[in-house]
Amino acid sequence: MQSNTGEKMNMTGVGLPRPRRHVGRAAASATLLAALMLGLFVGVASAQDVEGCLICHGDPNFTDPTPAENQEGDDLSLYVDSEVFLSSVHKELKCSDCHEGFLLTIPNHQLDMDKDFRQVAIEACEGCHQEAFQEYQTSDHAQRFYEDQAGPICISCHGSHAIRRVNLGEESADFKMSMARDSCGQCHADKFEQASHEFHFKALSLGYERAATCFDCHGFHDNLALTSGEPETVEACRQCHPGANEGFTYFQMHLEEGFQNAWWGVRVVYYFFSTLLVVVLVTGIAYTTVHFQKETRTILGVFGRGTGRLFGFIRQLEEESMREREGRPNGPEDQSKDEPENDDRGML
Amino acid sequence: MAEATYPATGEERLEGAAVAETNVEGRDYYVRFSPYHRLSHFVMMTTFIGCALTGPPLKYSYDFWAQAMMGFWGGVENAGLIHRVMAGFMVADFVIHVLYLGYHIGLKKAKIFGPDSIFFWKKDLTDALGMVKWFFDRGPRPRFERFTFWEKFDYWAVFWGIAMIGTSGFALWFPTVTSTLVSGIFLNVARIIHGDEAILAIGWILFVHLYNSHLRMNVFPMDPVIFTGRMPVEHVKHDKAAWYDRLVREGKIKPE
Repeated sequence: MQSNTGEKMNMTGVGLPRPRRHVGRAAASATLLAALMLGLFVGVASAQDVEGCLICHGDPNFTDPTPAENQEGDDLSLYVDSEVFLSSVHKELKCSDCHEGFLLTIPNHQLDMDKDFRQVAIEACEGCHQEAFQEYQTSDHAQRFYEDQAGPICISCHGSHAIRRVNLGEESADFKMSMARDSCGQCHADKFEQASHEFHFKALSLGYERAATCFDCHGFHDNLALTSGEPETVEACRQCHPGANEGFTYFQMHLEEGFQNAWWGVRVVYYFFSTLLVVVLVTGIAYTTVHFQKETRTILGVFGRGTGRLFGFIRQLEEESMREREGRPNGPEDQSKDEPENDDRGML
Repeated sequence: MAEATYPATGEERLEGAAVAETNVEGRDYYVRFSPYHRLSHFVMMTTFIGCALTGPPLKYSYDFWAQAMMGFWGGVENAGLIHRVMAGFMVADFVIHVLYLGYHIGLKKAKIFGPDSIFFWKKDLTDALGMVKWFFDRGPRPRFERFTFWEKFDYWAVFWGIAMIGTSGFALWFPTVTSTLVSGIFLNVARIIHGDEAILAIGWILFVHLYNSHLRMNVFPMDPVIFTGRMPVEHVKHDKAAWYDRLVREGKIKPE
């Protein structure tokens, strides 16, 4: 499933923030090296470049053979799923178009360790996507990234090798929902969960593609936090609700189930109507049930009244079986004995 | 039995004209609901069903049946359109009924409290207690007048429902208008009220109204009176004894 950009990202190993001294060495055989060098010297076409890299990186078991110090868990996978890459929007590109400067040092590519690899990664994207990059620079995401390297970069949301083509304004509801869940929801799981209780996500999950997903309000690259009452929030709402004013932005998209993080008035209304719902329905259903058992009892007629009716029923069965054994028909005096005392049955 | 019919007295009541008639089989009927009453109920019923089938799939969009139900309507947009059209007719039906009430109370000076009125009065309380006693074999079944207390409750529940679901529904239908009047947080409030009250209404109709009106022993499997307007006189006698006595006393029906 290509929609899961987050998983793809981690599978290909990019975006995992841990230091590495150098990559590769032992895994490449002399045969492979020869084939690769030949390709390079002849002058690489894009397909050859991709094929060349995939000789090693197409192996699902290809991992970083020189693990970092203090590494925890499995070795870093260096595997690239060629099927996923060749169905991505970047399928026409060469590996070296993004992984600049890596190719010629194969197989012992030395990484520039003075530079954080995430900085290298966003510069690779910037090479083609300057406009998106400039927007990103203004976002809360970029601010966190430049502050302490903790904020997300391009590949955190888009993935690395599985990037899909997006026709802006023509996204399907499925796509919008999967972006919200798999990209934004990776870090903002609580916000995703909260928004799921509101109309927009409910409509999206039912296939209504015009309903807003995360980026419709918060922006694609210039992601904003959006606070009620702020002019930028009014602008965000106005994209779909042209008449939106400042008061409109006090609608809360991210309320918890149970409304614990909401204004107290919301909780009061919620408790009142939930209680009303339960009390009225339980009362109504209890009334109907008691009415029903009265009628059932009246129809069956013969079981006596109150708690004694079960014993009356058992006694009647015993008497019937006794009569059957004695071959005696049900006498009129027995019938009159079984009649209930209240004479209003049938008059319901 | 078949020879006599009992025409309406011509006296206007809050609930419209009443007339007794005899069908071809010689069974005496009493006309309990006027054509307006039947039409009004029919519109309320159909629009309610329309809203109840198009709304919940959105509220429970993550449940397995919601997708299929939305697929049946042809998507959220269609279901929303049907929901709004139905709601429009329902509110129109309600507004017309309020005008009808105003006409009869204001201009025709119909009595608000009395045996023929849909308004609650003290007998409803004793009837309800009597009914509970009857359930537990502690007394006879109450002798009901024209409208039993559960019929009145169902009637007035519509007023509460329209006030709550209708108001919150319009608030959600025109969110930007709502936000010019009150803070946007009331859209959250409206969503809570709309959904909760809708579930209450649907639950009430399914579990209480349908049983009391159609599944009771005397009328099982359904009571067609709300659609035909006609109620067999013997049914009146058994079900609403006090009303039957009054109708006989007033000469509107022939005693059985």
